[in-house]
Amino acid sequence: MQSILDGLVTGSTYALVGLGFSLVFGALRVLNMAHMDLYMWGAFSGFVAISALSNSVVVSILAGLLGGGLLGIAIQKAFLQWLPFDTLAAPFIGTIGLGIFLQNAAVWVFGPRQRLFPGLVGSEYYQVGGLQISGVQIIILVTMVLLGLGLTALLEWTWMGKAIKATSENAEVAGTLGVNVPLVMLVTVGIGSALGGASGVLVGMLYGAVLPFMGFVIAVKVLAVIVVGGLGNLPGAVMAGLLLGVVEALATRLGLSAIRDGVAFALLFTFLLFRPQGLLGERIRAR
Amino acid sequence: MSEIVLRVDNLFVNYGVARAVEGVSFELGSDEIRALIGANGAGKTTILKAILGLVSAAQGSIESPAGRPIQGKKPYEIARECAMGYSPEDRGLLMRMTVQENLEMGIYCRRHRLAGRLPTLLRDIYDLFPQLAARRHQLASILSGGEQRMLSIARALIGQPRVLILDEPTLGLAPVIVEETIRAIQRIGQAGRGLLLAEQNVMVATRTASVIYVMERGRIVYQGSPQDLLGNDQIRTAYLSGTALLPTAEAG
Amino acid sequence: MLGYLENVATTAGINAIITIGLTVVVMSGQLSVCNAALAGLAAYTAASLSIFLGLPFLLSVLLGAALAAAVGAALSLVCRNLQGFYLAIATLAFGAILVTVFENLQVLGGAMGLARIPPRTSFFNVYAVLVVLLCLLWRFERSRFGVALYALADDPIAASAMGIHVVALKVLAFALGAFISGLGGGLYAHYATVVVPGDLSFHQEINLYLYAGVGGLTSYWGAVLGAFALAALTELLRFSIYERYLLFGLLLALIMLLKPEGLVKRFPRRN
Repeated sequence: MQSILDGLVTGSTYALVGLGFSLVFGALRVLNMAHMDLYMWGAFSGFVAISALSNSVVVSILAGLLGGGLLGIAIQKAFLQWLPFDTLAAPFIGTIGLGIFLQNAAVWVFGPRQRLFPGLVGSEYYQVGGLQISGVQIIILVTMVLLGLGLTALLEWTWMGKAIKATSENAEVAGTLGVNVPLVMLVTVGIGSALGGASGVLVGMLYGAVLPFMGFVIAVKVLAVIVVGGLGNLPGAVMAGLLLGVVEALATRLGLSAIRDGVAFALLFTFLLFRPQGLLGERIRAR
Repeated sequence: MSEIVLRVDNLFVNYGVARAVEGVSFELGSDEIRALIGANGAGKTTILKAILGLVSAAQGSIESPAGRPIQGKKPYEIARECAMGYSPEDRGLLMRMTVQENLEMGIYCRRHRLAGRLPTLLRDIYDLFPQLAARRHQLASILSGGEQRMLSIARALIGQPRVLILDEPTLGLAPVIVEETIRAIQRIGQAGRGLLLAEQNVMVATRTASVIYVMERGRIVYQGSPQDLLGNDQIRTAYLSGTALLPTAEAG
Repeated sequence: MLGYLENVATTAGINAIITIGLTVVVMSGQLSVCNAALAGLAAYTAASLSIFLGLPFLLSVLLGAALAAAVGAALSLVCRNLQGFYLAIATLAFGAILVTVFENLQVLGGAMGLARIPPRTSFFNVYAVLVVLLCLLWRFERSRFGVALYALADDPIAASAMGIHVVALKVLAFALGAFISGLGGGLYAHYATVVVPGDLSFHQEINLYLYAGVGGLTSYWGAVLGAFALAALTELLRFSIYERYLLFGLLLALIMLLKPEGLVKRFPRRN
């Protein structure tokens, strides 16, 4: 039971990154392999914010959101929107190259070793109905819920949200309806990247450290999340992220911690082979 | 009191090296319905797409209701500028959104002005299209073909456009639905709006439009009223395959 | 000095061979990101055969490549219904799985890898293999098989309509690419005398794509050019490993952005 709670916490971080990734995929129809490095840069933004500004949870999360979001917007404007989409391979490989660039840029700035993320809340555990939960875990769950609700509100109740949904589904039609497609894509990438960045900060808080290679570590997990949830399917990404977290936690509980990372691979492969559209998704046609 | 809401002048559009549209010129006034007819590939859809900015014109000019040139602009710029309602050949619906959400997107280009009136606008549309009212919270993907077409036209209409552009509105519909659609078009094609139709089904055009342009291989080869068209033996044989089955043309 | 140049050239030659394998797979329209892993698999196999069974160098390398080919064929077969991105993700995951497997196989050295592999690779045998490979591929491109492969990549539906057995061809292409990369892997093992799990990692895959990118991912001459150009670049610009990757990542991104068809045209011309 305790494992399920822990799993939900780590799952929340997967869900947030996956959500951002799915959002970007919906808009651009390319798997942005640099997304993982935006997550990492978000984590470092939080790190910098704490070192330079204040030891506050809110500040660091905001820094992660801003760092991820701004960087995402920058790469969209400078790079992603110019990618030629007539082949499948070129944009995908291009984002891989971009990711490597971002990863090593972080090494250049921060050095290759991990940096300690200061503890922002005490390390006490609270008792809630027979389960133990730490301050950090509470923060993660709360943030996840807030961001998730915020995103839903945006998509369902604002004009920009409707424009985002329309553009993700059919950019040409959206254009004829008056949607400024390039702008909406920019906003979508910004939001998706911000979510990734926030997740990075949360992970930094959880494990107490950030590392330029963080993105590499979660790459397969994020891919597993979006495949299981359905490419481009937002609620699916959330569900898949939480599911992955829980399954990993349970596997550890059952003493199979060596293959904990293998869980992501296994899920990924199973779904790819038997249900590529994931739990909730439909088959995605290329743009 | 009719004014010109759309003017196309000497339009040329290329698809790669092929000429899809050659030297096409026409006008559309408010309060009238005009139709482009011709076989598949004659260039009708290309002209409509050029008007909406979805393909670029190699030469020629297109003017919006305000008399401003709109050729070469991006679709969303055009949409915002001149409130043109568009129902594409494939209906262009947002399948993952509900009927009502699709309709709401119909006022997107003028949302700042019209958002306050949304309830009224929706009610008016639902009065016009009762089948849609019954399904307002259902996903567009589960509607029947005819209903989807209705939704597409309704969405084009809700933003109070000056120009309404319908591409093959009756394509693939059962004859009964085609009848309904014709009647809907007749109802809509008034009240200060210009309606431009592209149709392969000549009967639809002759029963709704006041001016018909016959297109072949990218050129307008004939233009006239429905009576002119039906009275012209050459055109009739070429396009209307025999005489006995034709309904008598009703004006508008 | 000559020894040093020989070193660089040999490494470049090995990289070229592995990359050629990659381009063969991509040429068939399958987006695979696990060729480095397959090369590594062959490397481990060849090394094991040399060390534990004492097999002669050539035999070990060939068997290692054969194993990689078999595994590649199996992977392609299993994933035959996956298109585009899904296939890319599957191969990515597969590569990652292979890395994890080798990290945990203590009998093959675990994370420390396999060492004391007899050094048998030389400048000459690498280039012998490379030259033979290029000649065979030149013939192959112009053969029925090669043309069918291009047809497959350009338009799978049309190809199928023309009677080309799509799945068989894809599996074959994958296996061929894996075999070629595997040759490179076996040669590498007997050159560096050490194989570590990191050699199969995604970072190595990035390198391969970088070399291949010069050829627009589908020209093996481009792959050769890329491997040499980047080897030269690496030597001329003596950056630390991270700065080097910084540059390489940027380079790859830029090539994909600006000239995705690569700097070298492949045969036949795309129209």
